[in-house]
Amino acid sequence: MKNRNSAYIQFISMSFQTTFIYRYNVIFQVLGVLFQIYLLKTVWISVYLQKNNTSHMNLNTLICYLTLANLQTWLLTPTITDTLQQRIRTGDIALDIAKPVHFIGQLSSQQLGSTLSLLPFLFLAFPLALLVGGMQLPASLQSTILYIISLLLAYLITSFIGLLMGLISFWTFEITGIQFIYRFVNQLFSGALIPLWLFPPIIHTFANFLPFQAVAFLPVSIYLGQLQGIDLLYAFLIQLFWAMILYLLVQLVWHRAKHYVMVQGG
Amino acid sequence: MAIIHIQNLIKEFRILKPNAGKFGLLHSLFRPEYMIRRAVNNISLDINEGEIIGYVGANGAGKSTTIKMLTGILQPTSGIIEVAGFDPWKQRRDNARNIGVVFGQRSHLWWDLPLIESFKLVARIYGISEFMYQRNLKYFTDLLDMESFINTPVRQLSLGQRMRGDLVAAMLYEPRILYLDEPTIGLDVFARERIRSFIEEVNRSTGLTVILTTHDLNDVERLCPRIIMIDQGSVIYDGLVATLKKNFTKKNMLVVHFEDEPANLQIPNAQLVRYQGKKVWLEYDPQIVSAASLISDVSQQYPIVDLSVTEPELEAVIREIYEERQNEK
Repeated sequence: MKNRNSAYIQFISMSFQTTFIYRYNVIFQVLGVLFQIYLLKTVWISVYLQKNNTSHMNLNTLICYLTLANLQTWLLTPTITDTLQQRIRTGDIALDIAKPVHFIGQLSSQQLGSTLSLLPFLFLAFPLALLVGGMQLPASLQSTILYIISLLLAYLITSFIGLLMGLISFWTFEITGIQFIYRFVNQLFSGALIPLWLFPPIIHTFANFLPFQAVAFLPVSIYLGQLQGIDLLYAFLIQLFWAMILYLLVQLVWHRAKHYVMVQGG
Repeated sequence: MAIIHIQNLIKEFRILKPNAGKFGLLHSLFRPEYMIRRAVNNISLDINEGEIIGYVGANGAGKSTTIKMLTGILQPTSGIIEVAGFDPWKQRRDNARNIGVVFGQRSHLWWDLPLIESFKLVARIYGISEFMYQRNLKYFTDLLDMESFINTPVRQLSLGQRMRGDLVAAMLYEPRILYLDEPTIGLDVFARERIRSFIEEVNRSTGLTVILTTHDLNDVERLCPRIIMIDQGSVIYDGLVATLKKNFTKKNMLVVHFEDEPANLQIPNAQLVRYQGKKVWLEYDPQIVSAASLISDVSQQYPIVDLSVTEPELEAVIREIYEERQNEK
């Protein structure tokens, strides 16, 4: 058991190092996010100026929402999808499977390392995000703690989605189409561009059934103290539900993929 | 006691039947038809600890499929496999600690990071002690002369350096069996020789069992006393390379360099297979005529500058066997 843990730590460390080798790429990602936050802010300011404020959220809170939601969506973008797809394409996957460490464990620790490696960049980007966007303090100490828990659940959800997309390449080898759809759907239905309460009721209801709201909308709403009482409980239940469902799906698809590779020879 | 025991091993794949016709693609999408292809057909083998085996066969003969079943990443359709006491498929993780795997076209190494990081990962995956890691790392890197590039990112390494890296990654935890699939593919002569002498040295000093799959029969001739040939999923020869050569080839080659271009050369017991100016290639059967009498025969007709006798190379022998099998069909 100890051995296995130290293997996972080395996986985390190596993913961490890999990010720093491609640090310029990360810097461009951060610049992109900051630019997006700035654009969203200007668009929403002009919307607020044109219409008399009918929304139940004031402009500063909305800007804080957008800033946080976009930083968070960037931080939680799964990287394991590309890694997995490449290993499958080159056939290196056969060597990974032959190792005496659980394959999904290998992948999960790589994803963890990769997400952790973005934190230093996030700290650097934060002052700039304040400048181009805006920030408010969390509603209360309680909402800070709940926000962190909710963020961890959001991390689980995105990394499971990332794994699932990657596993699909066992059958298709190419998944850029799926990733394209994911990015679009995730941005829209996570509420990173438009807060979900501004959606028309039908689409809002639809969004409530999807896992994506658990990625940005729910955690940020908790941070801002917008969810209270039963709504708060409901938000956590949704996140937990999706985390569990996606976990089971990952296990199921991995089981199928393993069968496909090991019995059908890939 | 054999370290690898294979008995009546069969592997069948279900493959999609290609659907011809107007809407073939559409048809196979909705109503796919499958057929069974037998990649490994009733193979039985025993390999003893410390042997170096050359496992050869044409593309698609079933070599890689056998190796995949031995490493536990492919489930046999039927038959028995035992590798150092484990069933590789059912006890994949136990088996993994006993074996090292190097596939020439695949890599254990992390492309972006210094080579040493991949070695650390291997050490932790296989849970070896720091002492064993340092000792083996030093032993292997000295043997393969890797000091100068161990801190270089893998993507900057040459193919030969990367192959050495992969070999070390497969050997650090002291496996008892090493599977090598095309380890010298795409390498220059020096790199090949380095890898061959590494395998030889490790086998000699640690009693490592090596299963070598390759198209480069020079690898086999240099390293393996015993060769197993397969064709269409079945073993067609299992025995010593020397015996194979003796039994399957009747013919040696005499290459003669004359002073002048010979006209009208008469040699009753040999066949003129090629000639190029003053140089002539004669094929003869050593059981019918000796090299000595052949040479005296030739030298009586024309003055000779130089000559050489060559025994057939393994490659020629194997080509001959496959051609014979083709003709039988």
